[in-house]
Amino acid sequence: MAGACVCTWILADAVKSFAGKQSFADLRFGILADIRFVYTVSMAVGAAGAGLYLRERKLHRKTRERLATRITTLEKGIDPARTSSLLTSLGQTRQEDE
Amino acid sequence: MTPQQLSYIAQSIIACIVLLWMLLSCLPALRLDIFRQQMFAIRDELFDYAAAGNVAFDHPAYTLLRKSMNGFIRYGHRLSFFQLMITLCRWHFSDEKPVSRWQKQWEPALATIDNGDVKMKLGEFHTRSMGLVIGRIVSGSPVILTAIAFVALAALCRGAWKSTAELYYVAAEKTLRAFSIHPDALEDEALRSASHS
Repeated sequence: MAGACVCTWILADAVKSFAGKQSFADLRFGILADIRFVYTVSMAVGAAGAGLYLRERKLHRKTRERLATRITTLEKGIDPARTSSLLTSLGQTRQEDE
Repeated sequence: MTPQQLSYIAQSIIACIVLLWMLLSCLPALRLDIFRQQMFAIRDELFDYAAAGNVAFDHPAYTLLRKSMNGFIRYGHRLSFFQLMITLCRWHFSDEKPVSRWQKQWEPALATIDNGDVKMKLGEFHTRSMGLVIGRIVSGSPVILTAIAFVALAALCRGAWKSTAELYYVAAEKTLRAFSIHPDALEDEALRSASHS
């Protein structure tokens, strides 16, 4: 609670110092208030997030494929009757199970 | 209509398409991956527990647990409230009735284990895997989530709870039972699924 009060006081003090003055701060507030600018940034962040997600998912599947074969071989050495979940090597549902 | 307005409309349509793709394709795929990943982790722990010599790999309790986990991993994509309701309706309206295999096999299999700690640990593996299954069904259904919220609120008013987690589990169990969803029936389905190759 005390922290929130201190933050509010500091912010209020910072805004007071801009009152009635023309400065670069006006320009910055202007850009942030421009809805088109905000929209473009949101779209760019969203697209970058989706792109990163897809790339990460692809890498994750490749890792799964690489490690699953190794784990299966090692575990079969300990338990030859080891049963499987019958997913594909990429860890996805088989077409006939869809 | 000005070119600027047309541009806004095009941007909005693209944004809506992307949002729908995320909600209807990416999110369910992510939820399924998380469920399978967590079930694989429990299955691996069970394997390590058996490899440490606590229980034999050919012991009926181990093979049953492993089979049920395999079934849940394989058919995790079908574990939804909607699919369950279809299955329950099929059982209700047709001659095809559920065969209660799980209870018939699980209890006698556990009874053959003399060590109380091993028995308790295997029970714990079973509880954890069922917790994941129930969590997946509950979190994927707005209908059940709403019903749970009401049941939890009622329990909260009565003061019959010790922790938030307990409140959630009790509410989830009561709600699922109200919808005639019994954990044993899910196990039976998993076993039946795992038996098909």
